[in-house]
Amino acid sequence: MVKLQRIQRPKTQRGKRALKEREPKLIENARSSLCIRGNKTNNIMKILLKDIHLLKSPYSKMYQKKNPDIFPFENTSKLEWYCQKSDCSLLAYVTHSKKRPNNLVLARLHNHIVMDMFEFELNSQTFRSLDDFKCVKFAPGNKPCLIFHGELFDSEAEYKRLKCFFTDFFRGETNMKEIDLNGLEHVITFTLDIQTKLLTIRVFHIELKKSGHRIPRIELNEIGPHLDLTIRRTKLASDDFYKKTLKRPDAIKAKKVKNVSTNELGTKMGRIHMEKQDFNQLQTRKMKGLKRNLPTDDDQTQEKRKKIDQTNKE
Amino acid sequence: MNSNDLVKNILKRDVDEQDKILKSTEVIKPCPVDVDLGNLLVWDPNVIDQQAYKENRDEYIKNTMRDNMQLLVNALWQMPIERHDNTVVAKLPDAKTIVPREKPVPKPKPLTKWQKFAQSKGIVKKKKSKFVWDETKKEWGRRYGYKKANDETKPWLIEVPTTADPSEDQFAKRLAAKKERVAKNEFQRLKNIAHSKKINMRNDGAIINKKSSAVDVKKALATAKYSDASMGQFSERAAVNEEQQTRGFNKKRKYESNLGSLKSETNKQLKIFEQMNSSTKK
Repeated sequence: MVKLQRIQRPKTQRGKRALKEREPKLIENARSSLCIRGNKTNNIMKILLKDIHLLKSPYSKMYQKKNPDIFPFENTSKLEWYCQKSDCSLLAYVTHSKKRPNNLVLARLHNHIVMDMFEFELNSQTFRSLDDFKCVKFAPGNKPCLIFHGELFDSEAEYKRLKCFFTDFFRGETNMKEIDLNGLEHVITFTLDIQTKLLTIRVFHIELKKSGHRIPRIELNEIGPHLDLTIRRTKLASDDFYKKTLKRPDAIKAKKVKNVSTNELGTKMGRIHMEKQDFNQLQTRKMKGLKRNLPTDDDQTQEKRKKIDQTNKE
Repeated sequence: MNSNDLVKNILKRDVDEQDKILKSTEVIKPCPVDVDLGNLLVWDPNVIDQQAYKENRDEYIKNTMRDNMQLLVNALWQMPIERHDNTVVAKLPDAKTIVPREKPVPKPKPLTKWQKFAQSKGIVKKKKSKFVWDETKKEWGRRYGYKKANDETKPWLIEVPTTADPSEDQFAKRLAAKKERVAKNEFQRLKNIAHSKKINMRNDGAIINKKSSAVDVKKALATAKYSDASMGQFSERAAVNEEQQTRGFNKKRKYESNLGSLKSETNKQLKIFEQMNSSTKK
């Protein structure tokens, strides 16, 4: 016989609030990432992990110690548990081994379950970190612009997912209603070559220069990190699962306005439904002769005759 | 140079400058790029120029990305602009690209048994004031919680009812009754949670049709051994490990008395001394 197990409830108001913050929300806040390193990492991968952490901050957490026995493509349970613990839904994991040197695993989670996972090899020769560029950087938490270039991003399913993945990973603050025009500080660019299948990630600082009219001219300065990645292994969510995650709550969907449509030219058209018209109550032109309760002729004429008769008698 | 030429030259220079200004922000692409302002995202579907790419990759990327960024800025500067004390702010449209949710769509909280009953009977919750008048203390106090008014656990004198057994401890009875009420409420809460998770359950809280695991049996045994309270006199005492398996029965931390024996203290000091010695030898 198995008895009901105790389920603890938060004892303090603060704990209650913290738990509420983690519950699913209608409009979600920015995804935060967890940066973990494996048992064996080289210095380059450590620097890369720190750079990813800095790119994502303040929506990022970093574990400083090394974590043995994590093999993301064999068993994700440990990583999922870490993510749940620190309430993160993005993951960056680095290792360096003889079999897979300079290994970077990026993943995203839905409801604390790993959804998409990509493994990359970093080209350590061309790698340059944020610190290697001595220039003006961006403020932490600044929303980056994202640019994708390369026909593969649209033609193959895997790379299509990769594009969506990177959008999700780096876009930062969501549901922004307005943006400070001076706050456009950095842009993260992704270029995928069709021949070598090399993914080039570059981060630039945006300079707004005077152009002589309203719209400024853009100049870009590289600020790092400077990454050349090749894809190793991938683990993508099944179509069913993916579709489920795309579901949007009914409460935030825009309500359809009935009987209003816009045509191709952008003209707003409306359809109006009227009640059946009652012709008896129709307002027409008023004429004295058509009045309903007009004093009858008989009364008037009789009075007049009486008067005439009297004058005649006299 | 006559005046006619001068005028022509100036006019020509003006036109050139205008062209230059326009060119500085103008970008022409063979295939129009897709700009999603809600996410500040640009998708450039143009084919990569292999020759330029192979010649100097970084230079090519920087140039194309500059153009793409210019297009994003051009689109952004078309949006309605507002001014909030010293900052210029552009309104952003809704994001076009739909990205997976982080967590599932929130579900409405399941109703408790009482809430369901109240709903069916049309019972509406009445708002009660937070503070009530305490007749004995002659002051206002909270209805529930810390320093609550009319606290029935506080009186130090209880009248023994005529029907009650005179030897019975009325204070213990009061305490037990309170504990019972708290436990009942907790049990009801657990039952409500189990019901919302559709766990098939008996009235006394046992889960039906669930095979008990080895851990469950061990836990049940340890609980039984603990709760017969004979402390090993009539039944076997639960092992330390077993005891720990039942939550809340863990041994409390013990502190040494302030007036400890001299012997144990000297032993302790000697042990520390030995440890220090051993480390120096290494």
